[in-house]
Formats: sequence, structure tokens, C-alpha cells
Amino acid sequence: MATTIDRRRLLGPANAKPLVFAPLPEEYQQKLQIDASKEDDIESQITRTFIKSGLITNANGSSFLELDGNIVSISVYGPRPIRGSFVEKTTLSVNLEDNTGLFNDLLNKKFCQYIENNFLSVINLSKYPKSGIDIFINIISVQDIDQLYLKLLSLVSDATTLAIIDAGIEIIDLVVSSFDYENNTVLSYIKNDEIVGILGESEDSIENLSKIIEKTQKKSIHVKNALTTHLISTSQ
Amino acid sequence: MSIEIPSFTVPGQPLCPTLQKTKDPKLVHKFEPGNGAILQQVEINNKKTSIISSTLVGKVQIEEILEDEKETTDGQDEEESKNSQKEDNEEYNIKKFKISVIPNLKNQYNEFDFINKETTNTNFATNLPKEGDIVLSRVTKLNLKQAFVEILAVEGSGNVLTDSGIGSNGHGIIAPGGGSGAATFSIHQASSDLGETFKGIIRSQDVRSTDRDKVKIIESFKPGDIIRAQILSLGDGTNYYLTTSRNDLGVVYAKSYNGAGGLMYAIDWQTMVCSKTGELESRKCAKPF
Repeated sequence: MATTIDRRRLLGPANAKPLVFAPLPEEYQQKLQIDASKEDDIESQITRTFIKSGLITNANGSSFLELDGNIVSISVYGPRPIRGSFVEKTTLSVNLEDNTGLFNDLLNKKFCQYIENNFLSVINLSKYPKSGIDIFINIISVQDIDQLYLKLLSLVSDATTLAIIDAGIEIIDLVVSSFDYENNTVLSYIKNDEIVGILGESEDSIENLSKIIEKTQKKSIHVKNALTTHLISTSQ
Repeated sequence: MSIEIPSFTVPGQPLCPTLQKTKDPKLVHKFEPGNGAILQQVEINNKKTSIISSTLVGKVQIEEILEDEKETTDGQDEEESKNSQKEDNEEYNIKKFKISVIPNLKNQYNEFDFINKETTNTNFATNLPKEGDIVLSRVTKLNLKQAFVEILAVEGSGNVLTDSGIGSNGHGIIAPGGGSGAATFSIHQASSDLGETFKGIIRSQDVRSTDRDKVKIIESFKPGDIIRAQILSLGDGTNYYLTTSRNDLGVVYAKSYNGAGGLMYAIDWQTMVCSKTGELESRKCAKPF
């Protein structure tokens, strides 16, 4: 349900839909065995990762990230003006668009909520009065929706950091996320040791929390180094 | 020992402490955060200190803040600050600096800005209109009491939208629920308004500084005019409040016959003439030079 009508441009027909291919028959859908040691080896994961910023020219900022069959693109629009009552700080909205057909409503909401919570605490909100920032997450491909969806979430979070930076929106620190396969938990850090987001989906993730934190923190430092190197090498 | 300030930063990177010793034992450097920098509290060896850290990717720029430029707002404040300065001055000389981060984002505006390529920040995201800024705006509608405008550009900071609101490029997608604007949208407003540009109001008493009660909006502006104005306040949720009550503010570009005729030039502060037909129209003109 769109609440706004665009009267300024000639738009396509309202019922136009993108081309969607039917899913492959069951026998062609090979599920690869997940190798736990491979999921824990963050350094080799980083070398396999492809990142590109600023591909979507219509957006204020965007990023594209690819790793192990996960492909996401994030676009950031804003700060754009909002109407109605006066707001001193910017409002943030996160939207997830799934092109794979694998996401259910609950998972979609989980992802959006997680990203929104993460970034509400790091964007310098008071810098942008009377305006809103819209983040659009576009899931293009998923490695394994059943067991590795939280890995995808950590990638979405890292890609969103890059998209926000590309948009020139002020953030107090890089948000870096890391995923622990053993306990199916994702954590997001700023300043190396401050947690801005945590989502655990395994039953004993609370009991092992200190172990998980220790493990993901080590990973996040590698991710942060990689992101920083990427930002410096592409901007200079 | 003084700490070297990095020349290129990423978000979260510490730039410098707020106070820094120099080689001269009597001289202290004090830093204040500008655009792209933020004051943060950190704990070093169990001691809390405030540092300035970066919030953008870009080059670091340090400007000295000269004391003369500083405006004192309140009489009491002035005395207090003088007293505290005196106390400080007995021991130290303080030199103030503003430290900011200039993002080197690619912007079409940059290519034509030969002079200030290095120093101006043309990214609109870090330059939302704020009080005191000079903006260029287009008149959208009038009533007896005020003129409604949309803000096109902030002077020295580039366009609000990449296409100046013409719509050739689109302003991207809007989320099904209305996106970040949904919280404050009412359906009635949203249906006629996409929320693409920042809007403003020039009230009749803010058009000029003399004879303010005799101002007629219709003799000052017409829809379609481009106006150079100053931001008075952030206003309400929808509109910024603007003023043109200065010689160098007012209409800078207008066409005669409500846009149907030719380009007009200002001949005095309240008249414009069409160069083709010689038709005179009244406007509140900006002093061109």
C-alpha cells in the first residue's frame, strides 16, 4: 500500500512486476554440507568477499556485497525531508526486499529490526533535524536460509555500514558484525568492545554468552580492519 | 609530546584530545568539533577524557577560531567567560581550533567549483539548512500573508537534490509503508506531496526591514521566481522560516507574465524590467552586486 502518489513523473503501469524464474526442481537444488571450520575462518572469508560501493546512482549511498553465495545490495536514501510535526532528530526506516522468495515475514522483520536497532545507536541523529533516512536491503541470493541466515544478517549489517558511509551520513563508529556458527549467534560491535546488537537463535546461546562474545569479538576486529582498509583504499 | 593529527580518517577514528600541550609551556591548543567530527568520552588508564573523533571518511581540516569573531550572546555569560578567561590567561594562552572532516565524495558541483575544490563541502547530507544559512529557493505558491518556497540549494554547499527537484532523476524509491516519513505523514498531506524537497515560508513581515506592515506579498514575489533568502529558524515540522530583509536578499531570477514572458532584470530594489518588451513588474529584488 503506497501512501504517496508520484504526480511528477511518468511511471510504468501500476501492475508491472519484475520477471521471476520458477525455482529449480528439488533434485537440482544441492545443499552443500556446511563446514564449521570454514565458517570460523574469518580471514579466508574476508579474502573471498567482494565489495563495491556507490553502484546505485539514484540513491544517496549504496553498497554491494558478495560472499559464499550470499549477495546483498543496500541503498540509503536521505536525509530526505519529512512532513508533519517537528522532529529534532532524524527518523530511520529499514526495508527488506527479498528477491529469492526464501524469506518469511518473521525473518524479514527480524532483519529490519536488527539493522534499525544497530544504526539508531551509531548515526549522529541530531545532525539531521526534520528529516528521515531510508535504508533498503535487497537480498539477491542466499547461501543457506535454514542454517546460515544469521551469517547473511552479519553481511547485511556490514554492507549497511558501507552504504551509510557512502551516503556521507555521520556515524560515530564503524558497525562491524560477526557470526558464530557453533551457537548460531550474530553480534555487532562498535569501538572494538561495545555491543550494539545481538541476536542468538540457539537454545544455549545465553549460557555460552561469554565464550561467544570472546570469539565474535576476535572476528570483528578482523572485519573492522578489512572495512577500514577498503574504505581508505577506495576513497583516496 | 604532541600527538600527530591524522590527515585522512574513517568514522570512529580518534582525531585529537580537546586540549593539547605545545612546545611552548604557556600555550595550549583547544580543539572543537566541526562538520564530520564529534566530541566523545573515552577511558584511558581508568581516567575519563574527552576526545574528538571522526564521523566521516575524508580529509581532516583544521581552522583556527579567532576570538574576535566570537559573538557573545548574554551579558552575564560575557562576564563569566571573561572571568574564566582571565583566570586561564594567568597561566596559559589558549589557541582555539575547529577540526572538521571533509568527505571527498564525487559530486557534479565539484567539477565547476575550481576555486574552493579543496575546502568546500558540497555534500548536502552534511549540510542540511540551518539557522543563518543563505539558500536559493523557488516560489511555489502565495497567499496574502506569506509566500511558500522550496529550498533548492544551500549557498556554498551544493544542491539539495541532484536534479534540483526537476524530477528527471527521480528521488528514488519510497517504502510501501511510507518509509521514514510515515511516522508524521497524514494521508491527506501525503497524497499531494511526495516530500522531495525541504519547504520554507517567507512571512510578509520578513520580506523587507522597512515599512514591514505595508508589504504586499503579490508585489514582492510571483510563483516560479528564484529567491535568495536566509534561514530564520528551523520552523515547524513542514516549513523552514526564511527572510529576505536584507539588501542582498530577494528575487534573483524571474520571468515576466508569470513565467510566460522574457527574463527580467532588476532596475531598483522593487522593480524588474523585461529586456524584450520593457514591461515593468514589481518584485523585492536582491542587490546584484
